[in-house]
Amino acid sequence: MADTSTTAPPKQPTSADAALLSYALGLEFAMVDIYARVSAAARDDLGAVAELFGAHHRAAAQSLTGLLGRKAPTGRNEKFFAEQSAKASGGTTRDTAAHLAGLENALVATHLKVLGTLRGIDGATLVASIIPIEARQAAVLVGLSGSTALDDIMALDPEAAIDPETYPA
Amino acid sequence: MNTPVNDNAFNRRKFLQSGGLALASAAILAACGKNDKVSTAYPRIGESPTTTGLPEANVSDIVLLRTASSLEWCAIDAYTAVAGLGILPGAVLPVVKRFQDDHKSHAAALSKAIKKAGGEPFECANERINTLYIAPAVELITGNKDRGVEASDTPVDDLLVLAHGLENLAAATYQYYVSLISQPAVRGAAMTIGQDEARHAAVLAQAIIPGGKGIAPSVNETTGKANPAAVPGAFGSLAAITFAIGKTSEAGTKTQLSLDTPSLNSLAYEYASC
Repeated sequence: MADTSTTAPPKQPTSADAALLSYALGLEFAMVDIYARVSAAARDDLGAVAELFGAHHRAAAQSLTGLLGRKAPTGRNEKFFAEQSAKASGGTTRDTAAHLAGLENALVATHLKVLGTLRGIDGATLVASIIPIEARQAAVLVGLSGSTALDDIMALDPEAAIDPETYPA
Repeated sequence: MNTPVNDNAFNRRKFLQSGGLALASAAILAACGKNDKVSTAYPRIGESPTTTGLPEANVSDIVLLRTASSLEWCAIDAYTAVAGLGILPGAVLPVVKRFQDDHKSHAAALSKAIKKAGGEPFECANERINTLYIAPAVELITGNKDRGVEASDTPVDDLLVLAHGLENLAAATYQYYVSLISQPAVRGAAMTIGQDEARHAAVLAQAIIPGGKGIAPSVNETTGKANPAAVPGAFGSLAAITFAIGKTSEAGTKTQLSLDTPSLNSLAYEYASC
Protein backbone atom coordinates (compact mmCIF):
# COMPACT_ATOMS: atom_id res chain seq x y z
CA MET A 1 0.00 0.00 0.00
CA ALA A 2 1.38 3.37 -0.92
CA ASP A 3 0.18 5.43 2.02
CA THR A 4 1.64 3.52 4.93
CA SER A 5 3.56 6.49 6.27
CA THR A 6 4.07 6.01 9.98
CA THR A 7 4.61 9.70 10.63
CA ALA A 8 1.36 11.27 11.77
CA PRO A 9 0.74 14.78 10.45
CA PRO A 10 1.40 17.52 13.01
CA LYS A 11 -1.57 19.06 14.81
CA GLN A 12 -0.42 22.68 14.93
CA PRO A 13 0.49 24.63 11.80
CA THR A 14 4.13 24.35 10.77
CA SER A 15 6.00 27.55 9.96
CA ALA A 16 5.31 26.93 6.26
CA ASP A 17 1.64 26.41 7.10
CA ALA A 18 1.58 29.67 9.04
CA ALA A 19 2.76 31.59 5.98
CA LEU A 20 0.01 30.04 3.83
CA LEU A 21 -2.67 30.63 6.45
CA SER A 22 -1.52 34.21 6.95
CA TYR A 23 -1.92 34.82 3.24
CA ALA A 24 -5.43 33.36 3.34
CA LEU A 25 -6.19 35.55 6.37
CA GLY A 26 -5.19 38.73 4.54
CA LEU A 27 -7.62 37.80 1.76
CA GLU A 28 -10.42 37.12 4.25
CA PHE A 29 -9.88 40.55 5.84
CA ALA A 30 -10.05 42.09 2.38
CA MET A 31 -13.34 40.30 1.65
CA VAL A 32 -14.81 41.62 4.90
CA ASP A 33 -14.07 45.17 3.78
CA ILE A 34 -15.24 44.58 0.21
CA TYR A 35 -18.59 43.30 1.44
CA ALA A 36 -18.86 46.21 3.89
CA ARG A 37 -18.48 48.61 1.00
CA VAL A 38 -21.02 46.73 -1.13
CA SER A 39 -23.46 46.52 1.76
CA ALA A 40 -23.23 50.24 2.43
CA ALA A 41 -23.86 51.09 -1.22
CA ALA A 42 -26.57 48.54 -2.00
CA ARG A 43 -30.19 49.63 -2.15
CA ASP A 44 -31.78 46.21 -2.58
CA ASP A 45 -31.57 42.56 -1.44
CA LEU A 46 -27.86 42.47 -2.24
CA GLY A 47 -27.23 44.65 0.82
CA ALA A 48 -28.53 42.02 3.23
CA VAL A 49 -26.67 39.27 1.40
CA ALA A 50 -23.45 41.29 1.47
CA GLU A 51 -23.88 41.88 5.19
CA LEU A 52 -24.38 38.13 5.83
CA PHE A 53 -21.52 36.97 3.63
CA GLY A 54 -19.22 39.66 5.01
CA ALA A 55 -19.97 38.36 8.51
CA HIS A 56 -19.01 34.85 7.37
CA HIS A 57 -15.67 36.12 6.06
CA ARG A 58 -15.15 37.94 9.37
CA ALA A 59 -15.80 34.70 11.25
CA ALA A 60 -13.28 32.92 9.01
CA ALA A 61 -10.73 35.67 9.63
CA GLN A 62 -11.28 35.51 13.37
CA SER A 63 -10.78 31.75 13.42
CA LEU A 64 -7.63 31.97 11.33
CA THR A 65 -6.36 34.68 13.67
CA GLY A 66 -7.09 32.46 16.65
CA LEU A 67 -5.20 29.57 15.07
CA LEU A 68 -2.17 31.66 14.14
CA GLY A 69 -2.03 33.54 17.43
CA ARG A 70 0.58 36.26 17.68
CA LYS A 71 1.93 35.36 14.24
CA ALA A 72 -1.34 36.42 12.61
CA PRO A 73 -1.35 39.47 10.35
CA THR A 74 -3.81 42.09 11.47
CA GLY A 75 -4.59 43.72 8.17
CA ARG A 76 -6.16 42.97 4.84
CA ASN A 77 -4.35 42.24 1.59
CA GLU A 78 -4.23 45.87 0.51
CA LYS A 79 -3.66 45.46 -3.21
CA PHE A 80 -6.37 42.83 -3.51
CA PHE A 81 -8.81 45.05 -1.63
CA ALA A 82 -8.00 48.16 -3.63
CA GLU A 83 -8.46 46.49 -7.01
CA GLN A 84 -11.42 44.30 -6.23
CA SER A 85 -13.45 46.73 -4.15
CA ALA A 86 -13.26 49.23 -6.99
CA LYS A 87 -14.58 46.60 -9.40
CA ALA A 88 -17.34 45.62 -6.97
CA SER A 89 -18.62 49.18 -6.71
CA GLY A 90 -20.63 51.32 -9.06
CA GLY A 91 -22.20 48.70 -11.30
CA THR A 92 -25.68 47.28 -11.35
CA THR A 93 -26.76 44.77 -8.72
CA ARG A 94 -26.25 41.96 -11.22
CA ASP A 95 -22.77 43.18 -12.16
CA THR A 96 -21.78 43.46 -8.53
CA ALA A 97 -23.16 40.00 -7.72
CA ALA A 98 -21.30 38.53 -10.68
CA HIS A 99 -18.06 40.15 -9.55
CA LEU A 100 -18.53 38.95 -5.98
CA ALA A 101 -19.26 35.43 -7.25
CA GLY A 102 -15.95 35.54 -9.09
CA LEU A 103 -14.17 36.64 -5.92
CA GLU A 104 -15.78 33.86 -3.87
CA ASN A 105 -14.71 31.34 -6.51
CA ALA A 106 -11.20 32.76 -6.46
CA LEU A 107 -11.08 32.37 -2.68
CA VAL A 108 -12.36 28.79 -2.91
CA ALA A 109 -9.63 27.99 -5.46
CA THR A 110 -7.02 29.69 -3.27
CA HIS A 111 -8.11 27.84 -0.13
CA LEU A 112 -8.10 24.52 -1.99
CA LYS A 113 -4.55 25.20 -3.12
CA VAL A 114 -3.59 26.11 0.45
CA LEU A 115 -5.34 23.00 1.82
CA GLY A 116 -3.42 20.80 -0.60
CA THR A 117 -0.18 22.04 0.91
CA LEU A 118 -0.91 22.43 4.63
CA ARG A 119 0.67 19.78 6.86
CA GLY A 120 -0.93 20.61 10.22
CA ILE A 121 -4.31 19.07 10.91
CA ASP A 122 -5.75 22.09 12.76
CA GLY A 123 -5.12 24.45 9.87
CA ALA A 124 -6.38 21.93 7.32
CA THR A 125 -9.56 21.30 9.31
CA LEU A 126 -10.28 25.01 9.62
CA VAL A 127 -9.68 25.76 5.95
CA ALA A 128 -11.83 22.74 5.01
CA SER A 129 -14.69 24.22 7.03
CA ILE A 130 -14.40 27.58 5.25
CA ILE A 131 -14.30 26.23 1.68
CA PRO A 132 -17.85 24.81 1.44
CA ILE A 133 -19.41 28.02 2.75
CA GLU A 134 -17.57 30.20 0.25
CA ALA A 135 -18.58 27.75 -2.50
CA ARG A 136 -22.21 28.08 -1.40
CA GLN A 137 -21.87 31.87 -1.36
CA ALA A 138 -20.52 31.76 -4.91
CA ALA A 139 -23.51 29.67 -5.97
CA VAL A 140 -25.98 32.13 -4.43
CA LEU A 141 -24.23 35.13 -5.97
CA VAL A 142 -24.29 33.53 -9.42
CA GLY A 143 -28.06 33.30 -8.96
CA LEU A 144 -28.24 36.96 -7.92
CA SER A 145 -26.26 37.89 -11.01
CA GLY A 146 -29.17 36.60 -13.07
CA SER A 147 -27.74 33.29 -14.20
CA THR A 148 -29.53 30.01 -13.59
CA ALA A 149 -27.07 27.99 -15.64
CA LEU A 150 -25.69 25.10 -13.63
CA ASP A 151 -22.41 25.41 -15.52
CA ASP A 152 -22.01 28.89 -14.02
CA ILE A 153 -23.06 27.78 -10.54
CA MET A 154 -20.69 24.80 -10.51
CA ALA A 155 -17.82 26.65 -12.15
CA LEU A 156 -14.57 26.43 -10.27
CA ASP A 157 -11.34 27.25 -12.04
CA PRO A 158 -8.25 26.07 -10.12
CA GLU A 159 -6.29 28.60 -12.17
CA ALA A 160 -8.36 31.36 -10.57
CA ALA A 161 -6.50 30.92 -7.28
CA ILE A 162 -5.21 34.28 -6.09
CA ASP A 163 -1.54 34.60 -6.85
CA PRO A 164 0.74 35.87 -4.05
CA GLU A 165 3.00 37.40 -6.71
CA THR A 166 0.13 39.47 -8.09
CA TYR A 167 -1.30 40.23 -4.66
CA PRO A 168 1.56 40.00 -2.16
CA ALA A 169 0.70 39.66 1.52
CA MET B 1 -19.23 -50.44 26.69
CA ASN B 2 -20.55 -46.97 26.74
CA THR B 3 -20.17 -45.21 23.41
CA PRO B 4 -20.63 -41.44 23.30
CA VAL B 5 -23.41 -40.28 20.93
CA ASN B 6 -21.16 -37.53 19.64
CA ASP B 7 -18.24 -35.46 20.71
CA ASN B 8 -20.49 -32.79 22.20
CA ALA B 9 -22.43 -35.16 24.44
CA PHE B 10 -22.76 -33.57 27.84
CA ASN B 11 -23.32 -36.06 30.60
CA ARG B 12 -24.07 -35.47 34.24
CA ARG B 13 -20.51 -36.13 35.30
CA LYS B 14 -19.15 -33.59 32.85
CA PHE B 15 -21.82 -31.12 33.96
CA LEU B 16 -20.81 -31.47 37.58
CA GLN B 17 -17.15 -31.24 36.65
CA SER B 18 -17.68 -28.11 34.61
CA GLY B 19 -19.96 -26.61 37.22
CA GLY B 20 -17.32 -27.22 39.83
CA LEU B 21 -14.71 -25.69 37.63
CA ALA B 22 -16.90 -22.68 36.96
CA LEU B 23 -17.43 -22.14 40.66
CA ALA B 24 -13.71 -22.45 41.23
CA SER B 25 -13.06 -19.93 38.46
CA ALA B 26 -15.52 -17.52 40.01
CA ALA B 27 -13.81 -17.89 43.37
CA ILE B 28 -10.41 -17.24 41.80
CA LEU B 29 -11.74 -14.19 39.96
CA ALA B 30 -13.20 -12.81 43.15
CA ALA B 31 -10.00 -13.41 45.07
CA CYS B 32 -7.64 -11.96 42.51
CA GLY B 33 -6.67 -8.36 42.22
CA LYS B 34 -7.28 -6.57 38.90
CA ASN B 35 -3.66 -6.95 37.87
CA ASP B 36 -3.60 -10.71 38.35
CA LYS B 37 -3.83 -12.93 35.31
CA VAL B 38 -6.80 -15.31 35.27
CA SER B 39 -7.52 -18.01 32.76
CA THR B 40 -10.58 -17.12 30.70
CA ALA B 41 -10.93 -20.67 29.38
CA TYR B 42 -13.75 -21.86 31.59
CA PRO B 43 -16.29 -24.34 30.23
CA ARG B 44 -19.59 -23.34 28.67
CA ILE B 45 -22.83 -25.24 28.04
CA GLY B 46 -24.05 -25.91 24.51
CA GLU B 47 -22.44 -25.70 21.14
CA SER B 48 -20.34 -22.73 20.33
CA PRO B 49 -20.46 -21.76 16.67
CA THR B 50 -17.14 -21.26 15.04
CA THR B 51 -16.42 -17.65 14.34
CA THR B 52 -14.20 -16.05 11.79
CA GLY B 53 -12.53 -12.85 12.88
CA LEU B 54 -12.65 -9.85 10.60
CA PRO B 55 -9.48 -9.14 8.67
CA GLU B 56 -7.14 -6.46 9.92
CA ALA B 57 -8.68 -3.09 9.00
CA ASN B 58 -6.85 0.20 9.21
CA VAL B 59 -8.46 3.53 8.44
CA SER B 60 -6.06 4.72 5.77
CA ASP B 61 -6.38 7.44 3.16
CA ILE B 62 -7.33 4.68 0.71
CA VAL B 63 -10.19 3.49 2.95
CA LEU B 64 -11.50 7.05 3.29
CA LEU B 65 -11.36 7.58 -0.47
CA ARG B 66 -13.11 4.25 -1.06
CA THR B 67 -15.83 5.26 1.40
CA ALA B 68 -16.23 8.61 -0.33
CA SER B 69 -16.55 6.71 -3.60
CA SER B 70 -19.25 4.49 -2.08
CA LEU B 71 -21.19 7.63 -1.12
CA GLU B 72 -20.89 8.96 -4.66
CA TRP B 73 -22.41 5.70 -5.90
CA CYS B 74 -25.20 6.04 -3.34
CA ALA B 75 -25.96 9.46 -4.83
CA ILE B 76 -25.77 8.15 -8.41
CA ASP B 77 -28.19 5.33 -7.57
CA ALA B 78 -30.49 7.62 -5.58
CA TYR B 79 -30.79 10.12 -8.44
CA THR B 80 -31.50 7.24 -10.85
CA ALA B 81 -34.26 6.02 -8.54
CA VAL B 82 -35.67 9.51 -8.06
CA ALA B 83 -35.78 10.21 -11.81
CA GLY B 84 -37.39 6.80 -12.34
CA LEU B 85 -40.31 7.60 -10.06
CA GLY B 86 -41.72 9.83 -12.76
CA ILE B 87 -43.12 12.43 -10.38
CA LEU B 88 -40.53 15.20 -10.68
CA PRO B 89 -41.52 18.24 -12.74
CA GLY B 90 -39.79 18.54 -16.08
CA ALA B 91 -37.87 21.62 -14.96
CA VAL B 92 -36.16 19.67 -12.20
CA LEU B 93 -35.00 16.74 -14.35
CA PRO B 94 -32.04 18.56 -15.97
CA VAL B 95 -30.82 19.43 -12.45
CA VAL B 96 -31.08 15.78 -11.41
CA LYS B 97 -29.22 14.74 -14.57
CA ARG B 98 -26.49 17.34 -14.01
CA PHE B 99 -25.99 16.41 -10.36
CA GLN B 100 -25.89 12.72 -11.21
CA ASP B 101 -23.27 13.41 -13.89
CA ASP B 102 -21.24 15.39 -11.34
CA HIS B 103 -21.35 12.43 -8.94
CA LYS B 104 -20.19 10.12 -11.73
CA SER B 105 -17.26 12.47 -12.37
CA HIS B 106 -16.46 12.50 -8.65
CA ALA B 107 -16.57 8.70 -8.52
CA ALA B 108 -14.22 8.49 -11.49
CA ALA B 109 -11.82 11.00 -9.93
CA LEU B 110 -11.86 9.06 -6.66
CA SER B 111 -11.17 5.74 -8.42
CA LYS B 112 -8.19 7.37 -10.12
CA ALA B 113 -6.93 8.76 -6.79
CA ILE B 114 -7.38 5.37 -5.08
CA LYS B 115 -5.41 3.60 -7.81
CA LYS B 116 -2.70 6.24 -7.62
CA ALA B 117 -2.43 5.59 -3.87
CA GLY B 118 -2.05 1.86 -4.54
CA GLY B 119 -5.59 0.80 -3.61
CA GLU B 120 -8.46 -0.98 -5.27
CA PRO B 121 -11.35 1.31 -6.34
CA PHE B 122 -14.73 0.74 -4.69
CA GLU B 123 -17.29 1.34 -7.41
CA CYS B 124 -20.62 0.55 -5.82
CA ALA B 125 -22.99 2.11 -3.30
CA ASN B 126 -22.37 1.96 0.43
CA GLU B 127 -24.75 -0.76 1.55
CA ARG B 128 -24.99 0.48 5.12
CA ILE B 129 -25.81 4.05 4.07
CA ASN B 130 -28.39 2.70 1.64
CA THR B 131 -29.97 0.48 4.27
CA LEU B 132 -29.88 2.96 7.13
CA TYR B 133 -30.64 6.22 5.38
CA ILE B 134 -31.70 6.10 1.75
CA ALA B 135 -34.06 3.10 1.60
CA PRO B 136 -36.14 4.19 4.62
CA ALA B 137 -36.32 7.74 3.28
CA VAL B 138 -37.48 6.63 -0.17
CA GLU B 139 -40.01 4.33 1.49
CA LEU B 140 -41.45 7.29 3.41
CA ILE B 141 -41.92 9.12 0.11
CA THR B 142 -43.23 6.32 -2.09
CA GLY B 143 -44.97 4.31 0.64
CA ASN B 144 -44.83 0.58 1.26
CA LYS B 145 -48.17 -1.21 1.70
CA ASP B 146 -46.53 -4.41 2.92
CA ARG B 147 -44.92 -2.55 5.79
CA GLY B 148 -47.86 -0.25 6.44
CA VAL B 149 -46.03 2.89 5.32
CA GLU B 150 -48.31 5.41 3.63
CA ALA B 151 -46.98 7.43 0.69
CA SER B 152 -46.09 11.07 1.24
CA ASP B 153 -48.71 13.68 0.48
CA THR B 154 -45.96 16.01 -0.81
CA PRO B 155 -43.65 13.65 -2.72
CA VAL B 156 -41.93 16.23 -4.92
CA ASP B 157 -41.08 18.50 -1.98
CA ASP B 158 -39.88 15.49 -0.01
CA LEU B 159 -37.62 14.31 -2.83
CA LEU B 160 -35.99 17.74 -2.95
CA VAL B 161 -35.58 17.72 0.83
CA LEU B 162 -34.03 14.22 0.70
CA ALA B 163 -31.66 15.21 -2.11
CA HIS B 164 -30.69 18.32 -0.12
CA GLY B 165 -29.98 16.16 2.92
CA LEU B 166 -27.87 13.70 0.92
CA GLU B 167 -25.84 16.48 -0.71
CA ASN B 168 -25.23 18.02 2.72
CA LEU B 169 -24.15 14.58 3.96
CA ALA B 170 -21.69 14.25 1.10
CA ALA B 171 -20.27 17.75 1.68
CA ALA B 172 -19.90 17.10 5.42
CA THR B 173 -18.24 13.74 4.79
CA TYR B 174 -15.47 15.25 2.68
CA GLN B 175 -14.99 18.03 5.21
CA TYR B 176 -14.81 15.55 8.10
CA TYR B 177 -12.38 13.27 6.25
CA VAL B 178 -9.90 16.13 5.89
CA SER B 179 -9.19 15.70 9.61
CA LEU B 180 -8.45 12.00 9.04
CA ILE B 181 -6.52 12.07 5.75
CA SER B 182 -2.76 12.10 6.20
CA GLN B 183 -1.60 13.40 2.80
CA PRO B 184 -2.13 17.14 2.14
CA ALA B 185 -2.67 16.65 -1.59
CA VAL B 186 -5.40 14.08 -0.90
CA ARG B 187 -7.12 16.52 1.47
CA GLY B 188 -7.14 19.15 -1.26
CA ALA B 189 -8.52 16.68 -3.80
CA ALA B 190 -11.23 15.59 -1.35
CA MET B 191 -12.42 19.13 -0.69
CA THR B 192 -12.38 19.94 -4.40
CA ILE B 193 -15.19 17.41 -4.61
CA GLY B 194 -16.69 18.44 -1.25
CA GLN B 195 -17.19 22.03 -2.39
CA ASP B 196 -19.09 20.70 -5.43
CA GLU B 197 -21.47 18.89 -3.08
CA ALA B 198 -21.92 22.10 -1.09
CA ARG B 199 -22.92 23.92 -4.28
CA HIS B 200 -25.42 21.14 -5.08
CA ALA B 201 -26.91 21.59 -1.60
CA ALA B 202 -27.15 25.36 -2.11
CA VAL B 203 -28.99 24.93 -5.41
CA LEU B 204 -31.44 22.47 -3.84
CA ALA B 205 -32.02 24.76 -0.86
CA GLN B 206 -32.90 27.54 -3.28
CA ALA B 207 -35.24 25.17 -5.14
CA ILE B 208 -37.02 24.39 -1.85
CA ILE B 209 -37.16 28.00 -0.61
CA PRO B 210 -36.45 30.35 -3.53
CA GLY B 211 -35.00 33.83 -3.29
CA GLY B 212 -33.65 35.74 -0.33
CA LYS B 213 -35.68 33.77 2.23
CA GLY B 214 -33.82 30.59 1.35
CA ILE B 215 -30.29 31.95 1.67
CA ALA B 216 -29.76 32.37 5.42
CA PRO B 217 -30.96 29.99 8.15
CA SER B 218 -34.62 30.32 9.10
CA VAL B 219 -37.23 28.41 11.06
CA ASN B 220 -40.44 26.88 9.79
CA GLU B 221 -43.14 28.73 11.74
CA THR B 222 -45.48 25.73 11.70
CA THR B 223 -43.08 23.00 12.82
CA GLY B 224 -40.45 25.05 14.61
CA LYS B 225 -37.77 23.14 12.68
CA ALA B 226 -34.92 24.65 10.70
CA ASN B 227 -35.62 25.30 7.04
CA PRO B 228 -33.11 24.30 4.37
CA ALA B 229 -30.69 27.19 3.77
CA ALA B 230 -28.36 27.76 0.85
CA VAL B 231 -25.71 29.17 3.21
CA PRO B 232 -26.51 27.69 6.61
CA GLY B 233 -23.66 29.23 8.61
CA ALA B 234 -20.16 30.70 8.63
CA PHE B 235 -18.49 27.27 8.62
CA GLY B 236 -19.36 23.90 7.14
CA SER B 237 -21.25 21.94 9.77
CA LEU B 238 -20.39 18.41 10.87
CA ALA B 239 -23.52 18.07 12.99
CA ALA B 240 -26.15 15.45 12.17
CA ILE B 241 -28.26 16.46 9.18
CA THR B 242 -31.95 16.38 10.10
CA PHE B 243 -35.02 16.75 7.92
CA ALA B 244 -38.65 15.69 7.90
CA ILE B 245 -40.39 13.80 5.08
CA GLY B 246 -43.28 11.39 4.53
CA LYS B 247 -47.02 11.57 5.01
CA THR B 248 -48.14 14.50 7.11
CA SER B 249 -49.64 13.29 10.38
CA GLU B 250 -52.84 14.62 11.93
CA ALA B 251 -50.65 16.78 14.13
CA GLY B 252 -49.15 18.33 11.00
CA THR B 253 -45.75 16.71 11.40
CA LYS B 254 -43.67 14.45 9.18
CA THR B 255 -41.18 11.75 10.07
CA GLN B 256 -37.90 13.22 11.23
CA LEU B 257 -34.74 11.61 9.82
CA SER B 258 -31.16 12.20 10.85
CA LEU B 259 -28.04 11.51 8.77
CA ASP B 260 -24.49 11.25 10.08
CA THR B 261 -21.23 11.08 8.17
CA PRO B 262 -20.00 7.50 7.61
CA SER B 263 -17.97 6.34 10.58
CA LEU B 264 -16.07 3.18 11.49
CA ASN B 265 -18.92 0.76 10.86
CA SER B 266 -19.74 2.24 7.45
CA LEU B 267 -16.28 2.54 5.91
CA ALA B 268 -15.30 0.73 2.70
CA TYR B 269 -12.34 -1.09 4.23
CA GLU B 270 -9.75 -2.54 1.90
CA TYR B 271 -10.91 -6.13 2.50
CA ALA B 272 -14.46 -5.19 1.36
CA SER B 273 -15.47 -5.52 -2.26
CA CYS B 274 -18.56 -4.73 -4.28
